[in-house]
Amino acid sequence: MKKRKIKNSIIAAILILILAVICIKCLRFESVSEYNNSDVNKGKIIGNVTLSVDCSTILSNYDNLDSKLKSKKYVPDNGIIFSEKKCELRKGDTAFDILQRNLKDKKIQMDYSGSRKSKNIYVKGINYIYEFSCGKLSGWMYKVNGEFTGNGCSEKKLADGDKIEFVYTCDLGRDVGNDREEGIGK
Amino acid sequence: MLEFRNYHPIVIFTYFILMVITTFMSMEPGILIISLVGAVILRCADNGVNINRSVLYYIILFLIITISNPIFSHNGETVLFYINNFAITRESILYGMSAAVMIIAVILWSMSLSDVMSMDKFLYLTGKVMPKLSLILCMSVRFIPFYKRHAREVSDVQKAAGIYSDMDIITRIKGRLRIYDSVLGWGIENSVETADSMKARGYGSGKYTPYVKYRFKKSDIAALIVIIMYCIVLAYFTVIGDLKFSYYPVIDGICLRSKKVIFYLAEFLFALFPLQINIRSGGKAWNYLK
Repeated sequence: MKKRKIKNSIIAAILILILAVICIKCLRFESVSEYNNSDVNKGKIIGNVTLSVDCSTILSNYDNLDSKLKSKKYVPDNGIIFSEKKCELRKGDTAFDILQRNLKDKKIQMDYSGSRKSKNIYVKGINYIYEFSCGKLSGWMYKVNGEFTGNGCSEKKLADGDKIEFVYTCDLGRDVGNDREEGIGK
Repeated sequence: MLEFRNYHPIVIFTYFILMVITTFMSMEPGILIISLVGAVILRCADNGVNINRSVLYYIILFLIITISNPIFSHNGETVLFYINNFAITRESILYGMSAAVMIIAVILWSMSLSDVMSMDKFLYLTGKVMPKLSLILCMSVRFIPFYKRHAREVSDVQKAAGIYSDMDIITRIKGRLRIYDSVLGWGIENSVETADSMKARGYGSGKYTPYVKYRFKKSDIAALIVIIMYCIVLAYFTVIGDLKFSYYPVIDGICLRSKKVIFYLAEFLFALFPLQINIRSGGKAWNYLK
């Protein structure tokens, strides 16, 4: 009996050790100031793109908005969270990279799921306005050169001079001019 | 043992269902904590105060739920620190804690319900309306404890026979698998047999008459009035929207001067309702101090 107990505790200790090593290896802890000061500008500059983040559709659906978010802090008067601005395009950048880098620069909150490696990033929320915050059909979408691309924002590499717009829809894209949703059911 | 056990099944059932609904309805921390405290007090009064391994189990459950929420939800204004560029916020941790309290409270209420509401009471309630469904429900509710008991019996027998008792880990796992195999086979056979024997005895063929007669007494009417009063309070506060509580992006404050205090009081009194019955019915304290 005693031998078995010792054996079990050794196995448990090894498991905990492995878990701890994985935690330390894979997780990078940063304090808020460290995060804000960390540099994300890596890679060669190969051109310029413009970025804007817009949630003006909320203004016409203001009743549906979460009562907590009904404040100028979250939804500005003109609905523009990030006004159109020229940003540098670095090698290998996708629309998501541009968004993340510039929002971090301006300290605007952004939340996403998925990973860059598997190219399946989905932007859940910008500036505390999340999917479903303004009705059941609401969420963030993005356009490149005025067109909805139909794929994820971390999938397609950008070209010099592209115009990226992140827009908030309250009606599955219909109110921001996306007619692609007919194809979704197929 | 609680006096509440002797009440009419309808009273017992609605009481516990109402408590579970209250707990599920709101993420408001005050309501959740009152519900949890009520459930703990009730279980202590019913089973006696014994701190054993189950407390450790609930603490681990609490920690797992609390930690898992901030891993998946990064909403919230107060950022504590970043892990792999993801914000860990105070709001999401507090949300996780509330969800954990809610789940543990509901587990405790359901355990009290299954303790007080024995299966024959349940069959008494539903047997007339839906005999087949209630039989299936009864059998599935009893499924896990029943099988656990049988598995322990089998393993005791094996131990007594000296098989797989003190060997290396692989042989012991093999022994466990054998027990599992036998219990599974026995269980399937047993459930079919139960259903067959119920059918042979004419279950569901005519009017269902329970073995025990539950009469609706005066005390049941009094308890039902209390339950209806609580229902009205709950409905009122739900309609005026006082039970709404949101955590994102900034957590709501708890204002103790608002009308909500009335609801806290009502909920607390209602949660301890079975104990109040005990006190009123002549202080049979020896019953549960035994």
